[in-house]
Amino acid sequence: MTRQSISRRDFLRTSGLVAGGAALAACAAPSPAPAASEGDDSMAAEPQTISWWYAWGNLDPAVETFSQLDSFKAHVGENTTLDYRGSTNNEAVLTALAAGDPPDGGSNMDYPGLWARGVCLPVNDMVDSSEIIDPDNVVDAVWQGGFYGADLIGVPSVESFLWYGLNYNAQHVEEAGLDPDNPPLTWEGVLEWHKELSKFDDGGNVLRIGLDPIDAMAGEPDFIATSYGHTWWNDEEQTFDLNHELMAQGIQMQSEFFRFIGPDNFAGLRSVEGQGTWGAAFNAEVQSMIIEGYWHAGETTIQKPEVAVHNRATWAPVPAFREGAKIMATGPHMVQIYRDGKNPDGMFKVAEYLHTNEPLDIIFHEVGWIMGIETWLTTLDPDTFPGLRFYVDNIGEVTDWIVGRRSPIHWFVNTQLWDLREQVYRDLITPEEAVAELQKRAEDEWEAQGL
Amino acid sequence: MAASTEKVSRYTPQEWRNLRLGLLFVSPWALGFLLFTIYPLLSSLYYSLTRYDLLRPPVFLGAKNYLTLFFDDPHFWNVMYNTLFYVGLSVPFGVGAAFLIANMLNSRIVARSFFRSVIYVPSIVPAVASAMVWQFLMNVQYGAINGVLRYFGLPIIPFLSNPGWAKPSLILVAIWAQGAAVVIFLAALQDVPRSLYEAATVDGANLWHRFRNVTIPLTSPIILFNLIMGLIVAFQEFTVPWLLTEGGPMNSTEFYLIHLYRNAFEYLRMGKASALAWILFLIIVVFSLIIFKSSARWVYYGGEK
Repeated sequence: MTRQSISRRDFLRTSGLVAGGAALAACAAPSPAPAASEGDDSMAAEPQTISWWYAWGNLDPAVETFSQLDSFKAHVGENTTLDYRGSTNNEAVLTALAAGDPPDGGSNMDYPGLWARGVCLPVNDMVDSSEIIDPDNVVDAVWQGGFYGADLIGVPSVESFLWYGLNYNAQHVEEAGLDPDNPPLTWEGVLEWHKELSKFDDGGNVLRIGLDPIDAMAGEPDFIATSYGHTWWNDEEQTFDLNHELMAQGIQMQSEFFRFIGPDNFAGLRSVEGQGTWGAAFNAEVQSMIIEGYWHAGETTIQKPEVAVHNRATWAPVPAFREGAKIMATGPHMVQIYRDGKNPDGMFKVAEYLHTNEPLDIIFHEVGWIMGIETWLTTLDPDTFPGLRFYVDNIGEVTDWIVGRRSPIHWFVNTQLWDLREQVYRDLITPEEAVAELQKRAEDEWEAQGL
Repeated sequence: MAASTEKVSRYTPQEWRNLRLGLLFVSPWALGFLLFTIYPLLSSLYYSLTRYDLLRPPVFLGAKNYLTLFFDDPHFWNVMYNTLFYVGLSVPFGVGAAFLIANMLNSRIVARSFFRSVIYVPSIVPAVASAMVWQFLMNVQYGAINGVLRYFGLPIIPFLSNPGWAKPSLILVAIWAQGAAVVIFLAALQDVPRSLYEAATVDGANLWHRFRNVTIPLTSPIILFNLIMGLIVAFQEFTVPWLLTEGGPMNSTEFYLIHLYRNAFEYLRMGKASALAWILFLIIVVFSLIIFKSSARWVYYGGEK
């Protein structure tokens, strides 16, 4: 009779080999799906996924809504699923891009930065062959803002309209004894309002600020430059002109707002009101004015309707020596299609769909955003949100236009500007020293990035 | 050659089988270690010698990233100062506070178990949650501490919004979060033989003498351990300063890892960030070695001559 047993060693060896084999099998690439023959009907029904990542946190409900519509499914395919991820941070996208496994497309990222590094597809050909996207129907500055040289670096989509305005809480203004029907149009006038609107307790602690001069759009280099009549970034020559007297004047003026409140008070207030995130202090009614675009009207209405009813808007301020100039910026948000994405055609279909009225209406009503598509703009009621009418009615009045955020190192320059401006309003360096250092840092960075 | 054959032949077939099986069973760990520790480590060393933005192939620069950091980075030396200031105060004060608290919790006090639990809470609360609590305690406008000061008509303290106050405030937060060190000290204190205290008492030693000549020497290996661990953690501090101050005001809390993060993910300078990481590694090694070297003078290991 033969013994039917195995030794402990044999057992261990066998189980080790089995486990190793299983691990190797698991690591092996999955076998490809059988290729469908041409004309095979089953191909059309094959499930597909389109993955779209964007940095906005408030777009999700609108995407959820329109992605369930029959019109969306008919356009992208009945068996196609839109895998959208909002609030996706830069690190996640970069990691996915670096790993060669990015989503099919992305929005609200550093568009020129990603394009300059070669990770996006030019979409000229796709747009040319599209029957839905009509470049002539998009506000020209928005559409042209999507080009770098001859390449269209993404499909201008989602929200792209007017960026600059002085939005103010009319109730605060009235309470301060100021005239809400006669808002200031110069920095000097806004500074006076800032002083009147700011409130302190008996101990000198700030309870409310008139204007945080670097909240939202006002903190960016584009805004200071445009307000003071300067251009810091030459798009054609790809050069910087930050070390300029007008930039220094702009920084000096913004510093006055901080000095009146006190830099420590300002830092403390910003840290609790969303670290100075856009609009948080305005919504909390501890800030009476804010410089940002048309979206302020809709977003405030959706997030804080009781504050939004007091909202009004006028032109963003310019210095007294430029009184009468009416400045405005625009530029596209885009759907950028990533080179290593698996479904570029599907992503483009989503971008196409975003140029139709149904999603535009949904995004407008659920998020408060506007895309500059001219035929759709005519359907829009400018009184939907308090303060919106200013933007819709005054496009033709603009005297100074800028297409914003064009430099591939825009966000680097922005960060350095914040750093140096703080040194100015804490009286550690002069504005002239700040802009000279800003120029040096920008040039060094450009060289270091090999751009 | 002959010697080599002779050396190999020292293994019996059974020993060969044992060796193969041993290697087979450690291979999952070894592969993981090679793939997920050694490979990234060596990669980062290589990237530190390159210009690399994640999205384009790295370009070899030699030592340029290191030279730029030392001689041309407008923030590097400020970041070093901030970090050394923070480490230099938070680690000794943190370890000292943990040691004193552990001694108190090791004595016969009322509700000892309750206090032992409470003191450990900061270690299990997520850093984000505790940062938010400190934010609302220390805020210059709405903070609870300043609320009390204001109530009594005292001047308020801009804990996190003044460049002079921000670092000390973060050090205070670090000292508060010493629960894990307290628990380790407690375990060590309970290992100190009672007989030594009794003998010292018989010899006329008072409380201070017993603490100085019994408690400290017998727990000195654990003090060393907590010092080294505290040093490593403090040099890599990120979450709480990032949440409370984002490196401000005036870059006064821009610590080493915040600067590294900015370089890596805000400016896409992975090469420079890798160089920063290696410099930090060397700094920690040097400080650890200094402490280890000095430990021969002050750490007592039982049984040593």
